[in-house]
Amino acid sequence: MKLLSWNVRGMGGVAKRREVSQLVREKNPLILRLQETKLSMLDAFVCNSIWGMSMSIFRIARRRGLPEV
Amino acid sequence: MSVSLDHVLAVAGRFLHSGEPFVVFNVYAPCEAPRQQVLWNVLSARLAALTDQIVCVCGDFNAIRCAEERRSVSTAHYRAGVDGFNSFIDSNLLVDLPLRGRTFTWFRGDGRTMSHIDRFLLSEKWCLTWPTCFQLALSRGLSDHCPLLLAMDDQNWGPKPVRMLKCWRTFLGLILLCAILGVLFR
Repeated sequence: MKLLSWNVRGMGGVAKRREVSQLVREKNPLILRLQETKLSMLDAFVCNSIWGMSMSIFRIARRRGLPEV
Repeated sequence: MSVSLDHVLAVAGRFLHSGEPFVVFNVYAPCEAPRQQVLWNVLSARLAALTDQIVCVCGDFNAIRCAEERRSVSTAHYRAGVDGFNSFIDSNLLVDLPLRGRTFTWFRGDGRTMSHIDRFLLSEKWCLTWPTCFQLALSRGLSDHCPLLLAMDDQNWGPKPVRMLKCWRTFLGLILLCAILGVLFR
């Protein structure tokens, strides 16, 4: 069982998003925790694109436009 | 169930295999020491209600525990938040496991400034549930922070020890085989 935590410093770009999803595929964590995604909108579609397949649960905290997953 | 506080996202759940409840706090701390202290106080109040539970507080704390956790051209104001952060960890009986993989988790573009500000802090119950768990810093990629991995139930005890039976010496081919393997895996 693994947990991942990463301050990604912005996840709007395709390259960064690909990097996160690659890390998830590689490590297969039970829980992924991101800081500073800087995404104004984070929905099931974005989360699924990161997680690969359908993500079971996602939670977002928004602080001055800096959401965390 | 999840609770969103200033700079913290707390998620409570239950492990499917054991049915045990757990709480994870995802922290993205502010940079200034006074605002950090407010956050530590808020977190401490929450943690006080979770004694003897499986709790993990992790993320970007923007704080270090000692001078060795930071390398910089200037030595100014690094001490500002050190005592507050240490006393937050100690008073809540959180366990800060040694970081494997690399010494620092954040790097500035100048290549001379780096610090260990990302970490997993675990409750005693967490450590007792997974006594072999460890935290590992992975390669940084496009971010200026390294991803941190907390691995539990790890069955990897390192390279397997070599075992040899004394009677193997009587096989003539053994010396030759050892020589070949020695060359191959040198």
